[in-house]
Amino acid sequence: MNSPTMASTVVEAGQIDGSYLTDGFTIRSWLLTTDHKRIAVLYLASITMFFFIGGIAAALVRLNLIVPEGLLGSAEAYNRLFTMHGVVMVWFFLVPAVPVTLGNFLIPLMLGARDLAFPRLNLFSWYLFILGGAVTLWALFAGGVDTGWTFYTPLSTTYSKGHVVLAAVGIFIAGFSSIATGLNFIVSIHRLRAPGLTWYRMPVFLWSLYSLSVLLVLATPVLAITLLLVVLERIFHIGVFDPAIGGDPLLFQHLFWFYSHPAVYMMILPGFGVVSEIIPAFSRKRIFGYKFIVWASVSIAVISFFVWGHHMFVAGTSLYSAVLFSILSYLVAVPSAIKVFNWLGTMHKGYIRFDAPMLYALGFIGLFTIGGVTGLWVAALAADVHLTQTYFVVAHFHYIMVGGMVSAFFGGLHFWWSKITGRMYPEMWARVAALIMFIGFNLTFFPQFILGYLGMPRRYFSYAPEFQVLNVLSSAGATILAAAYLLPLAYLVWSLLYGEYAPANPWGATGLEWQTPSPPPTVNFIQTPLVTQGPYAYPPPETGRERHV
Amino acid sequence: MWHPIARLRSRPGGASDDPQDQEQAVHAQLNRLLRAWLLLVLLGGAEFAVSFLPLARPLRPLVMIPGVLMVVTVTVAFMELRRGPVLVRAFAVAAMLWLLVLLSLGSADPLTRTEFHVPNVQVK
Amino acid sequence: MSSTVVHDFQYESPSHQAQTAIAGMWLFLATEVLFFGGLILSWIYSRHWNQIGFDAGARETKLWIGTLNTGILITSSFTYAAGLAWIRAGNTRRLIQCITVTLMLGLAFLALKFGLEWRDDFSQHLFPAASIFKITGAEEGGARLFFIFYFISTGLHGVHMVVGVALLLWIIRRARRGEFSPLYHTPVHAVGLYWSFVDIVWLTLYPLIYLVGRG
Repeated sequence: MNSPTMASTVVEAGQIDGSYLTDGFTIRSWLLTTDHKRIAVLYLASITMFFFIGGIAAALVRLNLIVPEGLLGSAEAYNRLFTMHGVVMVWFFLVPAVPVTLGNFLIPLMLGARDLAFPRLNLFSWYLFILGGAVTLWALFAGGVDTGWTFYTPLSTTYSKGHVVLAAVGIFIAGFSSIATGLNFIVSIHRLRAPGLTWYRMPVFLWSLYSLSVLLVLATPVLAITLLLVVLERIFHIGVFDPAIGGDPLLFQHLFWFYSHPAVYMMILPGFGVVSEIIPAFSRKRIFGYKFIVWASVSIAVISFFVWGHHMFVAGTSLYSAVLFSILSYLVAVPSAIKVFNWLGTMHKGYIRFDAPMLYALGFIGLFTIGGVTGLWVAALAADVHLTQTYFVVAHFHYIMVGGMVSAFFGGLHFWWSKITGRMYPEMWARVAALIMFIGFNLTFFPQFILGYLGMPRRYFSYAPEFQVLNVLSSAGATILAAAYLLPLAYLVWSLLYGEYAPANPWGATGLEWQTPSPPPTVNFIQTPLVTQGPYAYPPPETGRERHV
Repeated sequence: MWHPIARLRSRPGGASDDPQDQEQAVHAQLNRLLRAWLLLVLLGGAEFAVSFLPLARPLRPLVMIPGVLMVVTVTVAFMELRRGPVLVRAFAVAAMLWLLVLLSLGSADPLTRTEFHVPNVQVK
Repeated sequence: MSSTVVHDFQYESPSHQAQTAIAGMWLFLATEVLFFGGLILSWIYSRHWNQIGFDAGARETKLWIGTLNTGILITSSFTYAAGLAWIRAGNTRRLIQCITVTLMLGLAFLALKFGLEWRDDFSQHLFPAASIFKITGAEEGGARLFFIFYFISTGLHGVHMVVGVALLLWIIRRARRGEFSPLYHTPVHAVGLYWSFVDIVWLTLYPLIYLVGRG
């Protein structure tokens, strides 16, 4: 097969007429598309909507907490708001975000393929997502659920007056969307790599999404059966979680967290992948310790299944199982730490540029590290007895999810924006937004570490007066954070209409996706690329500067 | 955009060169399948019989063995796991491994929990 | 080379594509293992905390129907695999015959399970959510838990069987239109995997439901 080498697969602008965006202008061509790029755009619009719904719920939560007695006046309303925030953010933003937008768009491009292995399944997964989202929103707007996103029994099965069944059904449906996506990604990465693209020549992003997909396909089914059991128990007023007949409410927690702990890794692994692409590009340097990073992703995926009991230290499980889970939780921190060191090693003696994607990636490294280290504190049994169910835990996971994951999502969105839309975003505004986000985020969540340490419990609509100052600071930070999220919405939409047209490779980055025009044609590549070198093949530093070995 | 699956119709008379060979191949395969079926019936009988034996408590889990062997037989003989590509075997092994993790690590709690006995109350 | 590769077609060959589809089906079945796995964990917990009552409930199951159904499903897996062997040799007629027998066996299973067994269970007050339950006293809780597992697991399995029956009908329809050959029969292979998997699920449920507590 006479295929061009990677370097010469650049397609001249005049060779193809139009791009995937101009390949059909009817609504039908979008709603019935099987083009992974269009599906990614459909998903992008959907998760943006969910992000703002979850964000509004968060804003109302923070609004309530500016006075000790609770501004909204009602515990019931507060419970439904934080549940809405958690449910929407976890299942309809964090878990899907990077995989279904950036993953769907980039995986075939990075593989040198035309599309994913099962394009129609891909479209079906979007419809499942929309259906699940619609049912869940119906539940939330019909009055909501007060159980928290964790649906603990017996509150969810017996005592809650909220729309538990409807919410659970919505999440159940959305779960199948995740499974379908994960299945598609795994099979594609195994079967559709371009000639010469061996596993060790794949960008780290692909390894991260592969690891994520393993989590999606193996953990999500357990969530499905668990939600089904909750729904049945609620409908029939009897079930396996009911202690009155000898059932075990802790069984729910085991089943739930068997999924939900891997789920938090589902949320962060794609973020690792994005950062692993941005850092080399903006340091103009090969990633440090490629094999360590990729196997770290795989180990995180595997070990994440062994640690779920750390959410249940004070729930009444046996002490022996708690000790076991605590030790395993320390183990899972190791590969994450390896990644952080490798990113730093990549930047060391690199030629660093502080464009917006890099600012987000740098923010990610700092904030994720803080979140990760505080995770170690709560993984210690003795410390967790005091810190569990306080704002310390809330701050811990928000540092990872918002400080880490959302930053990574924005970083990736900016990094690949030109590839997806064919337009450049305004750099100055993007850097300003990144800075505002960093400030707003820390102002929102750092006080919460202190609040938790001082003993303020989570999920309470009112609190002791001595906590007010920190709560007000946190809520103030939330307003700044909101601005930081609205700003990109504004200038990114602006760029769609007025942004300058993007070249194929505005960053001068390596990777197959940069070898095709921005935006790509529907077929991605005119000829199947032939890969002859590893990823991140940046030229070595210029002579005259100290060579990095 | 649809990716049409290549549809290649068989040439009249069968795809292989010798219809006789093909005939034998099918019969050989059918024999293998029949033997697997027989094995399953035997294992089923064993499973049935063994479950009625009054075994001591620690030996009870042995009752699972015929059942496990039946599952393996179906997987190998009817689903042709050994014939397939490595990837497929990797998926099957992964599924079993993760099932084991769920069941064993999940059982760690009830097996080691200190039970505070509550007297059996009448269920309303 | 007997196959033509379209220049911009995503797969290297039809065989590459077929293997990809089969790999996808196996991965889907892996997800189903975890789905039913959660249910099995609930069996473990329910029985662990209430063994006497649980086993008492288990003894109320209709052993002859369960065992007969096990035999039916094992045989149906065999007949399907036979059909696959026939189409690999190019014999569509035999394929259709085998799949039809598989279909009959599947329908027999469903008739026995839902038409006969579940009906009997309801009339004997074994439905766990009913206020009047056949077993009372100290064993009632455990027995109810057993039947919760019983109805949920056989119900879910039944749903999978119904989907399987629909898939069998689809295969028969396509086979009658002459769409399968030794060179192309991927849907037959994939549905066969699904069908055997549903059989495996039953083989796992059968001892957990019918044989537990008999010793």
